[in-house]
Amino acid sequence: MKWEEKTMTSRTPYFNKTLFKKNILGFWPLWGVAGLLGVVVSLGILNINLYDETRFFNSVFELSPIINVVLAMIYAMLCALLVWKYLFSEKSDVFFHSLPVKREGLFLTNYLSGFVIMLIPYVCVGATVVISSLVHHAFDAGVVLRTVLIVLGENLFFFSLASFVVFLVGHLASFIAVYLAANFLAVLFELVITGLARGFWVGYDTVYNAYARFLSPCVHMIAELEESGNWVVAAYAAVGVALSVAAMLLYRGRNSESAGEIVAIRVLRPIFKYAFAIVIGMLGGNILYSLLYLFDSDSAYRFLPMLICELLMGAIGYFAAQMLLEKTVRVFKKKNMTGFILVSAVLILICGSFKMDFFGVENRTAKAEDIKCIEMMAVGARCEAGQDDSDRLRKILDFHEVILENKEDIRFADDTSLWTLSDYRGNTVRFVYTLKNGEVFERQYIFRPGNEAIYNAYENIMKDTEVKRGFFSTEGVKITNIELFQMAGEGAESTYEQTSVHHVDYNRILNALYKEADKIEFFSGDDYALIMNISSEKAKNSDYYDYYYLSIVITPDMKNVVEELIRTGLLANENGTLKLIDEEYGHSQK
Amino acid sequence: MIEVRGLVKSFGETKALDGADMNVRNSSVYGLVGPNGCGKTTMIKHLLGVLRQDAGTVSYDGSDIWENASIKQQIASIPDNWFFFHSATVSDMKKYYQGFYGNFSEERFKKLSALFDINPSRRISSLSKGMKKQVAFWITLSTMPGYLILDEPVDGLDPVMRRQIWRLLMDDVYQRGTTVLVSSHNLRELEDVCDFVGIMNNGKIEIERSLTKLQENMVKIQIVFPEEVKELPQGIPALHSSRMGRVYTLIMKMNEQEAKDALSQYEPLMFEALPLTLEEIFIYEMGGKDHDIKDAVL
Repeated sequence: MKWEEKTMTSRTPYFNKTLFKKNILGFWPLWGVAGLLGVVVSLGILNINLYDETRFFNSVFELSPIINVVLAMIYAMLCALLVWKYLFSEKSDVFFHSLPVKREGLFLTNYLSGFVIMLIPYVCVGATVVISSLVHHAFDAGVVLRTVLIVLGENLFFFSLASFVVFLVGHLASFIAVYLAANFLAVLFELVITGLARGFWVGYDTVYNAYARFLSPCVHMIAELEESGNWVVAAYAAVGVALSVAAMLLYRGRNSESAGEIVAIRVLRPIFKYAFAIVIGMLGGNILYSLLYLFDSDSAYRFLPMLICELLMGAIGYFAAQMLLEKTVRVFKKKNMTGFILVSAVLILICGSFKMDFFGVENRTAKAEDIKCIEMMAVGARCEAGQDDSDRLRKILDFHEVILENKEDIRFADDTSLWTLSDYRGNTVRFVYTLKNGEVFERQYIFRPGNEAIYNAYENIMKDTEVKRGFFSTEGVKITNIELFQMAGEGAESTYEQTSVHHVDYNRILNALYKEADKIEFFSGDDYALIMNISSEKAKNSDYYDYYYLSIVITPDMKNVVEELIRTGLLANENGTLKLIDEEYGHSQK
Repeated sequence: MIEVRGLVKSFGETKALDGADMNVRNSSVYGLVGPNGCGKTTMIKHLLGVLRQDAGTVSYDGSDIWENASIKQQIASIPDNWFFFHSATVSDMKKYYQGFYGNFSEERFKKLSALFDINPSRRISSLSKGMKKQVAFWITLSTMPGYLILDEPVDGLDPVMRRQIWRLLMDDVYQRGTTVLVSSHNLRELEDVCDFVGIMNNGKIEIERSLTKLQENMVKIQIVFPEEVKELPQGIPALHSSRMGRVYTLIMKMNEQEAKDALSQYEPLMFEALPLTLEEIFIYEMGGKDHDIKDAVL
């Protein structure tokens, strides 16, 4: 048949074999290198653990969430970049969209080929590991299936997320930036917000709440895999499916003229501009402030310098976003000033709201009747008060009130230039409120002898018998060790003896301490006396424990306590002088 | 037939197409001309189904082009800056096109290899601009297109290759009924091949006629007035006038007879009507549409 007589044959517009093949074969350097590295590394790990059957088995099938998730996240970005890069250039965009394939066809073909490219290295590594496990009789079909499902789920999610981001932007650089932001920005932003709270609010000491962690999939997936198990991958896989559908819908609505644009969807451009400006203002402002105050010992923020830093970085962010959107550096025009003022106003509002504490976080305590339990951490130990200990609860609340009334004295507690010599003996007190409605909040304060009002209130409360008893509550607390120290002499002449006990009835000692709480003095660090260190732990949840370490001075007039220690065999009373003994429970040393 | 009706396309605040209408008859060569920035490339991108219009329609034989893969099977295009994969050889690109265009003719590709003396195993990126263009024609014409849309098609080709390419295109039009739309600033070349011409300005097709009618509608007159007529008389409807000695050259938007009638009252000593080239028609048509040819002071 002559070419002139040939009739047109139809090809399916929804999937194109040529494009699929071209993607797979054309991008072999990526999956080839990834596969080779994966195989070499996995063989290396297997070889190291070959001598130990259990370790070998674990190294074969145990996925490290951090490595696995981060690798999947980065690799998905590269794969998406390769199969969708034609959307970032006008020339290639025109070529692909003039081909006789519908956009759905281009999407499906590119999506599938990208996903296959993602999986090839895993298949290589998987095959290596399965063969090795078979050879060494460590194969477990159930574990292999679970591993395959986890890998599929993770990759499906990250590749779908990357594909979704592709259709929001029109430029390679913005794709990388938005994709990384989608994975990490929420956590970073929360860290900045928490940092501002810590810097501006006296007592607010939370580093990270993880409220926004679910909006940073990479971080959230790692955390959930470590904390809650593999179910989270199934949820992410479902989100991945939804994102891929959303990506296809975005592709159908995408205008080719957006190739090369920073933001592909017109309505998102102002959102990008303002979000970029605010994020740069806050993130960059904090970094700039930190650089300016790099050698400042104080962790509290100074309002005006912080505001100036944020406004400066906000201006840079705003005009940089404008430059990226307009593709020109000539953006300092009158029409753009309204936006600049708006961004500045928002930054002033945010920074101001922390400084002015609009939400009353800094001054927050709770009404006694709303409290289920309050814990006061001081001298390394924990004093607890509930509704049954109303007197103790009231005293702790009053102490907290005193701190808040004098908070300006300790706002810049870390600023060593404000310290007197005695201030080098500072104290830290932490309050943990558990309210009846289930809410928990914490505050922590650092103060020094120079902060007179607070320090006096602290000394008073630490001398209060009822409060001291709170430190020896046996409820939920497990004593893990008791040590006795005998310290004598000064300087080079100083000696100490030590003995410790295990497996004794700790509760008898604690009960004795409870009874004689009025005689207890907490070890301040410079007493030359007989010291008892009590190490304890309290279960926070099924996996985590809080650990405490309490040091108290033992004096002969603490008759019950001394009696118990003598009974335990740790101590001897020689003519009214208490001495450590080295018996069956422990040892002494000089 | 390619029909464009009321096509509107804006890029931000810029209106690239402002209600453009266009009719390209099947088996004809249509020249799309216009000043820079008038919307030609935007129009072509709509004709290829790449851009989505804000308003209006673009159809091929009554079928809308947008997301219409079966119509696109019949359309091939060569933009000014033809796309190829960076490391692709001629053969790779051929295979790629083969995978998309059901009508791709291996036989024709082989026949055309005699014309385009390029080794198919050569990387396209290593070829000169003109050779890249030849590869574009080689592969594109092998897809056996029913519609061929070309943007500055022979730019970069040597004169011999230009003639070869035009001849190939003309053969396709006459033998296979291919419809060719060509956008170019080389009006001299278009004049030789176009059946119809569309003159675009400010996002609209201002004039759309057959080349013959276009030439009939405008005339260049060389005229000598009697001695007593010292200046060009007022009231002569000339688009442009110039004088050399006693001979006036007038461009008039009318046919020869109408021009003769209009000028007979001045009893000219000499009257001669000359046909205008497409370039002259374009220049004088645009001259009246805020596209004056301005004297540059150097």
